[in-house]
Amino acid sequence: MTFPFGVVADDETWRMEQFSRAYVQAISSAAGCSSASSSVDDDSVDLTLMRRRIGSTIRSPRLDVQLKATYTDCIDADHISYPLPIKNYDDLRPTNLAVPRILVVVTMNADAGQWLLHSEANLALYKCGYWLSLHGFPSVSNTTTKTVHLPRLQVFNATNLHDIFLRLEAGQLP
Amino acid sequence: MKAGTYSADELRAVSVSEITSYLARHGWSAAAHDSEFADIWHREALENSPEVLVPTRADLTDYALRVGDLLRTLETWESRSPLDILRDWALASADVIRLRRPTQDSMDESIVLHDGAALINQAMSLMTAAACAVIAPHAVVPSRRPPQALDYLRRVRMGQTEKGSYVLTIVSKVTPLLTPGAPGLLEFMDEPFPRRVTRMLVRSLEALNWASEQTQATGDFSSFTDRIDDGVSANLCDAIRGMVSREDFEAEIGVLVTWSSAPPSPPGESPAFQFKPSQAPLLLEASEHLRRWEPQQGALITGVIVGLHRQEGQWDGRVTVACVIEGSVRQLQVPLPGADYQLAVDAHGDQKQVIFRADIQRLGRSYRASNISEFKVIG
Repeated sequence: MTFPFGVVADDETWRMEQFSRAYVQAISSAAGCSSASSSVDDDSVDLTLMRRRIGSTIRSPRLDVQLKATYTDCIDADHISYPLPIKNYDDLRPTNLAVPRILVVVTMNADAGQWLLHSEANLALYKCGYWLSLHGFPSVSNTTTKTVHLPRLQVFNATNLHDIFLRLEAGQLP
Repeated sequence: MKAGTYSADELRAVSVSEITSYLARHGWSAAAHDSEFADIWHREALENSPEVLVPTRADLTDYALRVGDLLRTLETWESRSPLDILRDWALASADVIRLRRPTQDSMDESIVLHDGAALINQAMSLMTAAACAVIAPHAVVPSRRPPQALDYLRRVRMGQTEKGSYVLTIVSKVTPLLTPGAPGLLEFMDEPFPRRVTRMLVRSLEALNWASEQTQATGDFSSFTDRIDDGVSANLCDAIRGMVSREDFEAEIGVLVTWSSAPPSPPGESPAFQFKPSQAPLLLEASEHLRRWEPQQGALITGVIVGLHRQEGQWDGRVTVACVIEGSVRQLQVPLPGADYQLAVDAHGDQKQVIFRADIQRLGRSYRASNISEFKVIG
């Protein structure tokens, strides 16, 4: 296949970002959440998810999401490994947050022609997103990246996102 | 900056009290604690009211982000530009004094540059008179300003001009005082100095109006000296007179005070005053009356000796110094101890200038110095 398909070039990472954003927004919609882009120009937050509490007219829990996308081979037996830029690592681990934060890493194919499968019957997105809360993670002396491990059980899907919001409604961490 | 996003630095500059004051003034109320770091606010009276998350501490990692979210919600809810809302946030924790001057050209709401510059100078004089009167009321503001007043005058700000004739805004941030050793607790030890200045300004303008009415009825200027403790001074009279009447220009001036809605609680309604050019002659006479009433304290005088007087057999003497007082060359009578008198004699002989500090009191057409210090010969 030719452009726009084929392997994504180095200067086309925005396409991967857009795809991962679409993935998270699709899952969020299914879990009953609305989403909004970050209101600030220099923060390590890409999306804020919000869901109206069931049976209550007040308090809509929120969740800030830092999005990453990768097509490298990073999947191990029970987790995926992702080299997170140190700025993002430091922005995700604070405990003094009004809104909790999670990291979502979306794994995908290098070839944009294999990002999705679409027919009249369905739309499938490839491959999968995983989430991790870095709340309270220790500071590190690394200067460029810190590799974090996202459990393969923590798939970013509608069921898990629903459970995350149930915990937030109970005043707990994601 | 991406469309729909705000500068993090700009958002971090907004304080929690500025936000909550603004929300309270616009019909929002705190509905619930969200966490130890944020509260939920909503419009209780409205169905389908949006709820907003309001951080309770400015040191949160996501403070700018939460303020940005709030700004975005208000921008939509109130159909206003974020810049307008940010400006209102900044003013929520400040007493704002507006000087409203009719414009010469109703089309573009402009005033002559020369007039604008004079208005700013008079505004500075007005705030100086109020700030100094808080420390100690005087008929004439001392030339040595009290340090606390000087500190205030360095901090008080001039805001953006506003539409609706020509409006010069003076923004006086009212910062609550915190009890030392009790971080995080808003416990007011005393009324903040900026609030005391605004109160004194209002009190002095009320007193000025009262004294003007009394004097017009009786012709007795003692009504002005009776209200010195309320902040009436020659400088206040001069500032108002300068705003309504100068050699080439006359116009009404409106003074409107809007109290900060942030703690400490505002004293009440927004006071408003109106001064007319027809009041200028009375204010001029009142100013002269007040200057005669009290000596200028600690004035720095530079001049030349034009007269020497010493009684036979006396060591101390009295000299006449030609110097500038109130913008004109005057002759000042200066009593001197023997040593300084001898310096004055030498200066007179050598045609050199002298410099010294003194309190100056006007007596009829002449001026007399007292409390002389730091007497030196220069040049």
